[in-house]
Amino acid sequence: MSDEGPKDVPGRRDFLGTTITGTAATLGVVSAYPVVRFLSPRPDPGQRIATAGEAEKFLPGTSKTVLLGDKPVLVIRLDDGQFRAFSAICTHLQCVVAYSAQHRQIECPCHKGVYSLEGANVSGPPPRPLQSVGVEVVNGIVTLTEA
Amino acid sequence: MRSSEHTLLFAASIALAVGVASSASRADAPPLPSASAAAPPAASGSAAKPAGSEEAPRPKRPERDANTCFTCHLSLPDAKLRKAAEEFSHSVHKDERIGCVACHKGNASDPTVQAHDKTTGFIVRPTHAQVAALCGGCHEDPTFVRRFNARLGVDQRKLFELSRHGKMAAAGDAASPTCTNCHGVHGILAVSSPNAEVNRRRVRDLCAKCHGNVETMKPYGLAATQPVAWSKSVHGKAFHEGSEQAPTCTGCHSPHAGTLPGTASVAALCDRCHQDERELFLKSPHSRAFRKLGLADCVPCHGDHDVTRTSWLAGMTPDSACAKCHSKDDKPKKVAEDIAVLLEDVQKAEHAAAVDLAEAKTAGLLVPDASFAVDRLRTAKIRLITTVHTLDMQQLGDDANAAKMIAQEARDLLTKARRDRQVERRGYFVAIGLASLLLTLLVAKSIQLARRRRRGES
Amino acid sequence: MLDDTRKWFSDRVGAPVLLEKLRERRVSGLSPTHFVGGVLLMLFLLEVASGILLMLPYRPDPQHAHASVVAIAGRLPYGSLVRGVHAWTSHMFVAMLFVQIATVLLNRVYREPKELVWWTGLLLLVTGVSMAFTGALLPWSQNAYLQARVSSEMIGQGPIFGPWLKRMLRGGDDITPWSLGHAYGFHTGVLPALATLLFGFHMAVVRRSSGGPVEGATVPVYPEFIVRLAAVCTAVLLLIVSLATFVPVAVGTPVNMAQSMAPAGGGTAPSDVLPPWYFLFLHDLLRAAPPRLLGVESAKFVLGALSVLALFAVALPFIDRKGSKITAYIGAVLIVVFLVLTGHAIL
Repeated sequence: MSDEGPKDVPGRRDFLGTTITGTAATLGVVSAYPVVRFLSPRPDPGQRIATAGEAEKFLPGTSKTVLLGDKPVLVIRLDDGQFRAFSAICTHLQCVVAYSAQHRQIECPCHKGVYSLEGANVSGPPPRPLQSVGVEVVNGIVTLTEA
Repeated sequence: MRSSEHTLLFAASIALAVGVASSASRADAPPLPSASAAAPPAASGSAAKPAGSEEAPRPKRPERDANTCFTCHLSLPDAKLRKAAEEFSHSVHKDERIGCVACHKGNASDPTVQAHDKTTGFIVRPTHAQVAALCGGCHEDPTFVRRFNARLGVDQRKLFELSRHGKMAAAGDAASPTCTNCHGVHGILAVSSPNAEVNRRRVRDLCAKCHGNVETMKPYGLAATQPVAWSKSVHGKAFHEGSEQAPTCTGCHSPHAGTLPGTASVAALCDRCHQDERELFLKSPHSRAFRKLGLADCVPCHGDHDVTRTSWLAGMTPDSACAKCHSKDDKPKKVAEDIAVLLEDVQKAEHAAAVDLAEAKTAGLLVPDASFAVDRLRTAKIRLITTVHTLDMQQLGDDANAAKMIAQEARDLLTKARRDRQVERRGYFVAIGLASLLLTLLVAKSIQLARRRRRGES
Repeated sequence: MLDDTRKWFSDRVGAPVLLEKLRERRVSGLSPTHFVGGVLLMLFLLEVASGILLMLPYRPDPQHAHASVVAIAGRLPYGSLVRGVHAWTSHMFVAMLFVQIATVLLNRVYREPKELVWWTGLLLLVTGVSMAFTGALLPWSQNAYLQARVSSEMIGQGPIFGPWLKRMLRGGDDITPWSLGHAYGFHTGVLPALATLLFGFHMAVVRRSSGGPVEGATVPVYPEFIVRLAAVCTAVLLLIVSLATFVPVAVGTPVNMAQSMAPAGGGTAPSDVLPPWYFLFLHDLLRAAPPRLLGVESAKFVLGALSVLALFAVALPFIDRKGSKITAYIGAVLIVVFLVLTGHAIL
């Protein structure tokens, strides 16, 4: 734009042209930022993996509730040291179920629905078994994966 | 032309009917003519039970004979005489090769009309009083019944006789229902058949034929409101929405022993599904008071056929459950009102949190923590509604407070998620500022250019 | 230094020659068709750019489609911005196409020698609406699913090709998981390619056929018209980015076909679902019409009438040869009808 038209007011014309080019270029850089960020996303954007701490510290006969994605998962360590994991949402009215160490079963606090440690609905109102979730110990860490 | 067409059609339909009948008889009916093979064990009443003995094989195919009660009746021109055979052709008894003679007796080996001879013991139409014994003849014999369905009970007749229906029948009330009134006569279907009136999905309408009819019920001094009340109840609504668990009539009233649950045992009935509620209720002051007053545990608050969610109606409003009894004493009135407030608070908090969460999710926010908090809040709410049965104000207050804390947690998490999203927007103001500047400059430039062009043109 | 770089560059590109040509060419300085055309091109490029970005994390299979859109909107940095820009630009694109068709119609710029400009413009309108339509299904949300069902059902009422078109849009007899792959292929492959070809051809014939004298004040294409166009484009961009930032585009809930089949069971009744805004006028017409019109099912009648109108639009360059302005008036009436119906349906 600098070599344009009769050179009657060179200072002002040049100033305007250069400012436009400069602003447009800056705007281009600014707009490129989100694009670059979008292209280099945070790790694991959609991965369905969660951890439930170190296996060492997870005592037999205890349980934990952790989030896998946006689903709560009940992780239980059986007396023999095995791990089991189930969706922590009761199949009756979607309450959050809990492990009962006393009765060695999974209980729903809302209507006394009872599930076995295999997740099977054994008594009370639950119509279906609890959804099973994959669990294994990887490098000493209890790791959950959506089945 | 036309008449010949008719003749043809008629001939064809006869041929078809005969064809169908004979092929059907070949497949299913062979045992029919053999009175001895398919005779029910109780038919003779003697110890000789040819079909019922321990090692008895399934009825064998006798000589093929197209001329049986069934085939003959199916081809009769008189619709009234044909009807029985037509209905029978769909029945579970035909499927299991239980033939006409099982109930009607007579001489099935005689292919002529002589088979109907009274001397052969032929029964044209079993009387109302005879029916239960006739059905029981087979259905009370475990070794006979198990050949067809090893799980089928054999106590229906005994239970029936204990029931009010059975007692009415025994007293000679011809209007009282016996086996055939519910199960049908010739076209009896298995309970599992969706077309059976006794099927779970249809049994309410079956009961309602009598129990929903004011005129029919009047002589017995019974109301006819139960079927309609049930349909409006939580059970009925869940049933109509397709729930496989919601109890229909037979869910609470044993189908054959139509005894009423009775005041003292209502809780033991409701308890089959609502275990927790009963346990908690037994701890409450209501439990003892109801016993003393002779009130059925669950019924005063929840009703019987019209079971509604009274826990949502706690309080002292005119339609609340508490107001039915408590009107004078101040203390229970206060408790009722307090409970209502607690429930309403928690329900509102849960609803608000759920709506808030749904909005955030719809807007594309990923909020697993808040989602879990809402799950826990819902659990706390339902738990609170259950705990109402104890009337333990201390416990209820604590539970309600815990629920409110979870609600607050959910709210905070959602607010935080929204704020995080907001941070991304900061860059927006930089971009928007630059773009606005660019726009201004471009406008200025175009004005400048236009001015210059006009000057050049002039 | 800057000038030297520029010279080095432009010498090699041959820019001065091109610029000189553009300097000599003059266009009407306020002609809306030129501005809208330029904005449309910019929107198209923006659509392609943001669309390519979205293609990367998107998973076009029914099991993962919605989850991936949720991840784009909720988890990827600036994902909701990219998605918002893409969605709002698509609305703007369709709206601008309508505006362009309307101005062309009113100014009668379809007459000889601009027949090809008009026809490619019409094809671009169809392509643009199809792109928006197929793109709306990709989030595989319940609402998108129901919307696609409602709109394709309406299209299926069209004469002769209606049922075929419906089946093709759906990739089968109904909206099924297969439809998603179908929509994805059309949205990211077939239609953008078609639109690019049409744009190229359209602009080539616009240049070719615009040799005649221009009415009113004219300005050189470079720099004056380009600067003006840049200003308009910047304004439109400002609007889009603001919308994308402050009006988030919903991701909805995942498709639940069982729910949509049984409206009595608490699901959304199909009658409550509105089609996208550019089909609202049709929806409104169909809803207001009696069940039968002139002995034909009213849906078929309305779609039939629209098809006749479309044929009329195609044949317009031949019909409107004389100096009469009657077609422009008809066009004006139709535009008003469209606006009133759409407005009524929204309010």
